[in-house]
Amino acid sequence: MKRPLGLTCVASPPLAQAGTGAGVVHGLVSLTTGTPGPPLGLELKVARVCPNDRGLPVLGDAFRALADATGARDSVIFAGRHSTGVARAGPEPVHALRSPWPDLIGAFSGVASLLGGQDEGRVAWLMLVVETAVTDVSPATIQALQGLVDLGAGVDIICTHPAADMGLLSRLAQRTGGELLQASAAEIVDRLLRRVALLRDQRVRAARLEVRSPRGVRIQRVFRVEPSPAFVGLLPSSVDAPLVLPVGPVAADAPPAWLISAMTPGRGPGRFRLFDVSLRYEQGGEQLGADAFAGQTLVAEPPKMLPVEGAVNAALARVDTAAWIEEIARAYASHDARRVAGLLDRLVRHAVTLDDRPLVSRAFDLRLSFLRTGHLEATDLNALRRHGAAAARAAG
Amino acid sequence: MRLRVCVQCGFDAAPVEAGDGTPWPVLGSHVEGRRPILLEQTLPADEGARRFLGRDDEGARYEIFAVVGTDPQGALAARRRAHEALPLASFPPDRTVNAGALRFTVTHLPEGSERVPEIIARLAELDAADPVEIIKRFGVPVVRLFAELHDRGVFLSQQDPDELVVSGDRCRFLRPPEPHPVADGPVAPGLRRVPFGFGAPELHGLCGGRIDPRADVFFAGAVLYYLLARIPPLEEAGDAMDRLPSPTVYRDDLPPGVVAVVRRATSPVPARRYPDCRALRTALDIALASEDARRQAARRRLGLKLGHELHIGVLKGQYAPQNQDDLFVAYDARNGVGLFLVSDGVSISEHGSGDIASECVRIEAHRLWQDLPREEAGDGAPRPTLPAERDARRGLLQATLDRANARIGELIHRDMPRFPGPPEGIMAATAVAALLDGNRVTLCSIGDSRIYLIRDGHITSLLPYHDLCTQLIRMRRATPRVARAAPAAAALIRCVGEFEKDGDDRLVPVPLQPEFRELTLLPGDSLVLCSDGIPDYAGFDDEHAEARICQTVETAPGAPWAAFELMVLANRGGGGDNISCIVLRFEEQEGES
Repeated sequence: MKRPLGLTCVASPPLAQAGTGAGVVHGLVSLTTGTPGPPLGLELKVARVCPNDRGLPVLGDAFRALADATGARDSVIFAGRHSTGVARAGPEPVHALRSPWPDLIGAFSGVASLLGGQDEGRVAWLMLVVETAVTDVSPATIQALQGLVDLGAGVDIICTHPAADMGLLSRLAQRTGGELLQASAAEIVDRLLRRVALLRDQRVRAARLEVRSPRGVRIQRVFRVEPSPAFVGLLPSSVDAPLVLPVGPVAADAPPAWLISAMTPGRGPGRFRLFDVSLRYEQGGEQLGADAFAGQTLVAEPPKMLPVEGAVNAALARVDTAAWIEEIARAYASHDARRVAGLLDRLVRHAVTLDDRPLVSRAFDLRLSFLRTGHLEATDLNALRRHGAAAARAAG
Repeated sequence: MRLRVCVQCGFDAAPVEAGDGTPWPVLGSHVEGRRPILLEQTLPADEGARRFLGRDDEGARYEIFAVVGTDPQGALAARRRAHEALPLASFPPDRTVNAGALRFTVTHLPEGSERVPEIIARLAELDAADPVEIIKRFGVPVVRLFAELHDRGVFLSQQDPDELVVSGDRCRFLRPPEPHPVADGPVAPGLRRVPFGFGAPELHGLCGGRIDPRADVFFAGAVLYYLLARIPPLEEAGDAMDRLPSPTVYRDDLPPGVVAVVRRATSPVPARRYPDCRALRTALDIALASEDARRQAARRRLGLKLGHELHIGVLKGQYAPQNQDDLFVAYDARNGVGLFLVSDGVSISEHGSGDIASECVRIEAHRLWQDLPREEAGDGAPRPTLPAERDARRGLLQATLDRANARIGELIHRDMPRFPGPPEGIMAATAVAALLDGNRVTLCSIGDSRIYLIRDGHITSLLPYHDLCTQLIRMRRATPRVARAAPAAAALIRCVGEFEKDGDDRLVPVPLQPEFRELTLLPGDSLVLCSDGIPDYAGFDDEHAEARICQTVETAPGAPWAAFELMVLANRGGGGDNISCIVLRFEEQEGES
């Protein structure tokens, strides 16, 4: 049967010597696009929100242009997901919220209550524009965000404030399968339109991707590799619970992929499963799915030739750029100047191995400026993040 | 069918029987034919085939390729086609032998054939062998083979040193390689087997993971590296973050030009390597020719242009007002005798300070220059002369450093006649010195200052550094990866300022142990003596810094200009340390050719 989505999973290293104690393995989980099938017929919907919301984005000229282009009149845009049998015409206001949303918690909670009141599966995507310098979120915000995830809604965050913590916003968006779109006012309309077009072009619904590991294999961290590298940081809620990866919209030219790092226990020779991955989704009212697994062989003697999974290692090198930058941000937040200087130096050398000269120059200049002044701006870090993401895309 | 995990090939399960129940041959058995061949060694093989190395009763060596008789997958035919496509890259099959359900293809290896790992293992025992001869005999054929492949517009995405055989002046693969046309572009990362110690980072999926002819350059460079260093292959070769330590860490007196070529070929960053093995072959030929010229050069005078700079460093100067570097330059152009010295005071010391320590070294260098024997010349002014014997010249430098050490001790003793506690935290300095006599130079180093030789677009650090990391590697106490991660890996373990204490708590200078090296200079050579303030800040990493130093010196219109540019380069890169350098550019003496 023709299927719109496939699944692959490979692990690195595929072969190691037994009896050397605990080890680190990396798994690359990738979706592959097959026969697409008809689009789901997504429509753009608009939710009216209270006009004096301080925490919600203020519409700028560029965003108003987008609103004109899409018919949206307010700052929260929904891509409504309808079953093909229920046709609805044109964008229209579907809800009005009167309670103020003073911050992201309010925004996420309010939208969750908004979505919860609708028909199941009708609204699936939220685009939230942040124009304030968000630098911290509380556990309550995460909880509110989780409410959106539970409702099956993804969140794209569009950030236009140069000093907002883009790393944090990116992680928030990643948790729902969404993306952080970093764009200047001049670029934002184009980025949003492209994103909306991608959302409208989806062919599957209710996609759920689960990763299970056998007992003893402990997942440590999760990165998204495609369409752009970012730290996700989702972990299973318990030892036996699967890791649920937020799928998000699937673009044909860059289907999503994730990198999972895990610790393995010290074991004797043999073949061992590391990751079992299952994908379930719906198309045309039919439940479809795909399964894959990756394993590792442990041998008693040191192997003469080292089998390597180049694709996994290449993905690891790409996400390392994002990891280094976030580590620099953490070190700076904890006022550890020595560590910031050391990490900037390492980032330079890492960028050198990727042969990305713009990122090398940017990081090198930042290091130089930090050594001379001891000062680092949030905008510098965001510029580095943008360069890092661009570099990783180029490397891929 | 019983399965077992194959250690040779990695992760494939190796059946002990062929598909139809025919047992595969085992080691110790014979392949019958005109002469029975004893199977001695297993080689990696594809699924459905077996490979061995064997020997007949006259000692001739063979490669044996076995498939089941029906050969359903056409392995034999595919192998022949691969050989015919690139006949120069592999040995022609000799004959076919049928034995029951098995078909053997026997390939005779020429007399004296040696596989690359066997050569490397054997070289470790040959302490006295000339490194240039070793490179010419074993390294050049390997480079030439890959250069021929690249000449034909193909490269390999999977190399295996076990498959390489050197025989006479030729090198070939035991198994016909699977080439990729260069025109098809790089090969994407995927599952492949990478040999320990020889695999470029991109074979591991690093550095973008795109495999092109530069992966072959790394492989050939790694072969040259092990031939020079005479060590077993390093597991961390191919690590994207760190390049291999210089072969000079493992062995003294290696040809500097060849070392520079090898270091560039084994760069972890593909863009910094030679674009293909043709360029590598050209560079290696030039380096070997230069080495031959050095060996054949008679003693004579060369023209010398020199420049020097001393700068506090723009960043270092913000928090430390004293420049702790010092230098000494003296040269008599009439007979080409000179003494050049750079000294870098150690910043952190409880007793005294680095600037005083480096000044002690400079004062003693001045004293050495003044005390050199003089001979009368026609112009009436006496000229300094140097002893002809190597050991005597080294003795002069050794005595200078020892006197500087003693001077530091005297300064400390003046303040503290009885030194409390262990003799630590005393001011100290590094030193690099060059004692020039015509086209012959005696080099000396203690600490982590640098002496670079620059020639033909290549740069080599001539003497190893006395930091903990280098010494751990040098003494084989740790692999490079472990040594780099050692606590205080950059700490100096030798410098001017080493003492013991006698029974009266007086400081007693310890005889210093600097590194020495003799070098014959050629017109076109440039020597750079500098403190670590230049290589540490001149580039993104040490490899980039060396490349920029090389480029700066080679493109500057004169030696003074080059020294100034080096100082500017380090300051532009941060200037986080004191900067001192001496640039010596050697030219043909006017009137000579």
